[in-house]
Amino acid sequence: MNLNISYNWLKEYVKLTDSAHDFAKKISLSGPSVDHITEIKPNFDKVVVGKIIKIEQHPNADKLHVCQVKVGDKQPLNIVCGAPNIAEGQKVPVVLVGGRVGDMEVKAAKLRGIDSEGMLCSQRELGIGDDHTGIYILPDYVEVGLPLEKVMPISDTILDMEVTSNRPDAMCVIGIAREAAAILDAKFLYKDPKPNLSVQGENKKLAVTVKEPKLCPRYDAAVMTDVKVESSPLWMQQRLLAAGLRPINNLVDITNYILLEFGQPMHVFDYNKLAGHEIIVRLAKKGEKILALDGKEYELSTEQLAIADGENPCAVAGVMGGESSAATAQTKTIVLEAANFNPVSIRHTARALNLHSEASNLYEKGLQPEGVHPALLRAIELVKELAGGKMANDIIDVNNYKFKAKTIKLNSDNVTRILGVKIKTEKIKSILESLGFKVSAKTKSSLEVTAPWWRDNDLEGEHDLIEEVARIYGYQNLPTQLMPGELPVDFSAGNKFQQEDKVKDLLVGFGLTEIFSYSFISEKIIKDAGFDPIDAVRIANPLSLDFEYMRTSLIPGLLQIISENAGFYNSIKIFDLSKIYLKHEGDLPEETMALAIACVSASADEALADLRGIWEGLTIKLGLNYEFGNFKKKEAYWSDNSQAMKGGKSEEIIGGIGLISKDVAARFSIKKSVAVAYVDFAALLAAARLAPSYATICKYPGIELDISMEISEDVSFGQVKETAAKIDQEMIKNISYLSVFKGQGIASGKKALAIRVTYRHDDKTLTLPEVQAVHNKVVDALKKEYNINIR
Amino acid sequence: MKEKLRQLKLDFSQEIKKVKSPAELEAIENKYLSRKSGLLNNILRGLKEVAKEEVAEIGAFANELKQSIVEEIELLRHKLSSGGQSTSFDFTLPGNLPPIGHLHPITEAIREIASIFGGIGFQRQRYPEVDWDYYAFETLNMPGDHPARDEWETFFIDSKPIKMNLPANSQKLVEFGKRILTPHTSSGQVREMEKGKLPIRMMNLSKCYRRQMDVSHTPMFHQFEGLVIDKDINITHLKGTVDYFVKKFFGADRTIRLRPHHFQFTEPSFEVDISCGLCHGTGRSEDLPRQSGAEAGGGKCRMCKEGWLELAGAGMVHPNVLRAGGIDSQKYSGFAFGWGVERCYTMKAGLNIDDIRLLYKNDLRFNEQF
Repeated sequence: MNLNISYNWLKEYVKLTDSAHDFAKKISLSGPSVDHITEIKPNFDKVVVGKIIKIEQHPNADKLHVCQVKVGDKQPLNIVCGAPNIAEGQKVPVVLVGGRVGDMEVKAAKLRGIDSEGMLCSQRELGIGDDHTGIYILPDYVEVGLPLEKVMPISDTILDMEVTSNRPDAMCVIGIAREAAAILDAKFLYKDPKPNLSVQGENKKLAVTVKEPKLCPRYDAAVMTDVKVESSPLWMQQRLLAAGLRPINNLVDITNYILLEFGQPMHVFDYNKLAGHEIIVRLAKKGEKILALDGKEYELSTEQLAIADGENPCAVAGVMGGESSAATAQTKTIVLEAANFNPVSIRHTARALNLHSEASNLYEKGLQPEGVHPALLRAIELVKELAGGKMANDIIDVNNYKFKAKTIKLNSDNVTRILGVKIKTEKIKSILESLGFKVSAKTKSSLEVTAPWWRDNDLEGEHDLIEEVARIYGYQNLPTQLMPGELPVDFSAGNKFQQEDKVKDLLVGFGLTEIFSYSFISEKIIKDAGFDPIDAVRIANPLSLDFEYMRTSLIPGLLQIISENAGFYNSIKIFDLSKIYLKHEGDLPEETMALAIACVSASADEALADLRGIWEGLTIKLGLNYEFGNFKKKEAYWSDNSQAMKGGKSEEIIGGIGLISKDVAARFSIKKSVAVAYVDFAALLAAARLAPSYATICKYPGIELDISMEISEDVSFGQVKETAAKIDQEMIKNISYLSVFKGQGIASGKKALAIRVTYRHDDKTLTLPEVQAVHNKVVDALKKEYNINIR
Repeated sequence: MKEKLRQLKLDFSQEIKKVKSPAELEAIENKYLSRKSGLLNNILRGLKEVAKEEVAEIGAFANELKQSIVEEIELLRHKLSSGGQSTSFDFTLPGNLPPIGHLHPITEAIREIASIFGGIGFQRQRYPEVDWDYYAFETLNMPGDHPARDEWETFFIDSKPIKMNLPANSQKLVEFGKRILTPHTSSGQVREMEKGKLPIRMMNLSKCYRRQMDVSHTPMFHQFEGLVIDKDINITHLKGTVDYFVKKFFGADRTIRLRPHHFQFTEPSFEVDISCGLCHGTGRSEDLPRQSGAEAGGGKCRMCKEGWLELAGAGMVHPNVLRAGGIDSQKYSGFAFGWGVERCYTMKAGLNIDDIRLLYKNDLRFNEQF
């Protein structure tokens, strides 16, 4: 949680000599860190306290008023103002002519025909707060004519500090001061407040009953009377404003001030609005409603804790007060509440009502019942000082817990083991004591450490104490070094990452672009691509329907990307090498790596030829051992023309290659042809020759002879190759494809195919007649098998 | 005489332009430079007639001229001897472009990170991305409905816990759990410990999922996790490892600092900061306009917090986590760290990607820039 901490305020509780910047650097290294530092200085000139003595309607403008403002002994100034909240008798900040607020220079001017000799300003215009709904109304005690910076201590440094969630004790000025004292070895100046508690006002009775002691371990209340509700003094307002809180009146401001100072939420009730002068801490009744201070009505449920009077709930415990019992300007007698609530209960209530406040944020993190009383005493002190309140009864303290300080054993050898350097037991002791721990030495290396009440929650065992020692000692004071020791022996995973990298590099080298898409996809694209969502793992709380199912194939995602990009490109070549998630009912899905490649072109033949070429390139570079085969009809639903790829030991289908069918493409609004190859990556690796192989380079020259034939278009190059290769396995070293042609000059149903046969012998130089004899056999075999015509 | 030399220069430059063959070149070389009958020497023989005060000047001019004739002849000789190769190739043409593909920037980032840690003995591993909350929370010291579980905006497969199928050597702290999408790479920690092989130097670079989507968050992103467990592993080793990475990845001039922090699964826990590369750790930017309230000498650095950038969380493995992995915390200790790959990558490259979602949108006009 981030807090805005006033450096001046902090200095009231710890003796600091550093500049705010140096302080920030030091404390960040060992405790709560300072994210940002903001210096506040008066960002204005010639702003004085003025008193509005007369307000008249502007003759020419409905929304403007003409004010007579006294700023000293001189004639009152005539100032035109449009703010809705001004009234005669108010004291307000006035920018005199020749003065400035922010970048705005104020000059004498005529506004809609009336002279204006200055300007009244809002908090935001003065640069001290966010409020811009009206003029900043100053408390009555300030003296007219004095410069504003003389009556309001604006200059301060605000530290935006992050306190971790396990340290609610440090989420306040005193908590930070305590940390600072230990970290900087500075004097902690806090003293428990000791207001005079004798009853001086008219005696007022209040009955407090806690019906849920587990949810409310402690409830303290004080009744004070004769309070005067007015603006709080400017020093207090400045501190609230700097922390981002809006001053309301002295009573509310005091509770907020204590929240910031002690980190203990407080509440103030109007005593006379509590039916039966009674407070009952109980669970809400079914259907009970409360109008909260945020102006909204909330219906409470029976597991939510309420602070009720004799009749109705007056507050959602630990979350927010209610409108009906709130103190107002007319309030004379108040009840100050300081209480402790169960963090889990507050968390559930705040979440269920979707109502979060500064108070609930703190309670959720777990505050200590021990912290309740000092905060109440401080509130009493401030109400006496700032609102003239008098005690109207003894303090009520209902507590249903027993605090027993936690004691933890600490072995100094373990400190050394975790920190890597030896720290003397004496030093450990002094560090822990500076943080408020009590330390007694059992043996030379064994300490018994007792935690102070404010640290009761976040300490579990020895490791927590080691952290305390380490951070105060200073991580910056520890050496920086790599670990010695054995290297791990599990190499099982190593190689697959290299193979993935290799395949990615090959494909990028072939001119493809790698894509990274979300692992979860929509039901729509699963169906559009011809898959069934029933096979996919479904997310119970998807971010949107676009991300509902874990993909079982890379193809739907690829098609979507093609669809989104097709408008910008004539041809697209992309690949994705990522995980897919295969559903196992009641268990984790099987996660396997898959590779998918897509080529898009206006021509189906070109898309297929591009893809087949890329696949051939991979085949060559990976030494892939696989065969084409036919899909069963069901498996080829996605394709108009496809081949299965079979490989690995069991000759199973490991992937496929083909053309996305017209209907599938149409569902993705893709007009071009899309050729796709996909393969199970593990099976691909199994079919690959990962270690290089070497064959002796032949000393004898080879002879290449071409055959140009007319052949039925149903016969594949693969068949021709197979037939030819069988003729002489010793001499025929290679059969390569040269060209294929259909159309003009070729009979229909036929194609012109040209191939090249390479003849070579490992042990001798072949003569042309020797070769020609074999070659003739090849041609004869082709004639016999496929009835070819030589062209 | 100077006039004669000038004329010679002019004649030579005219004639040499017409030369097309080595033979012609030899002829012209003889004509001008031959010791006995060369035109230049012919003129220079008259040098003794020249007035004394002019000798030096003319001599120098003649030398210069000879030098330039020799150079031009040699240059042309070189050209003519190159056997008719193209001498008029236009180098501003792109030529025959090879196919140009593009790795995704995240692949680039992952490789670089993995290779750095690989160099100090970390073994890359991969774990389920759809896993039991047992590994994401329960074993990471966040039992039951611990409030810290809420900090990760987790995707769930199951709305109610089901009986988990845990590996045989799991400590099985609880029987029932929910399947989730791993919200962090730390879910690999106890899985690695369950393999029962020590020491551990594991790295896990993989996809993570959280219910967040805005200009700086995508519901799927990548994290890096490092886990080291051995006897006598201490904070100095964590510092050393992170410092090594930062200097290799971001540059030797960058420094780190550890700030205390709080995570459930480490104790002590740290936030690792690196010094800002933009303001060099000052937190102030000289070239930015002064903001109101800022100190004199420039505005606040737009990149960092008071000179430091938050990089990652880290810490010493919590004893409860070691226990959940079946490791004796009195004998073994360890550290772990994790950070966002996207953040590291954009931070390093100084890439001003204004909307991080572009990384996974696969607009090829974006992908092709890498």
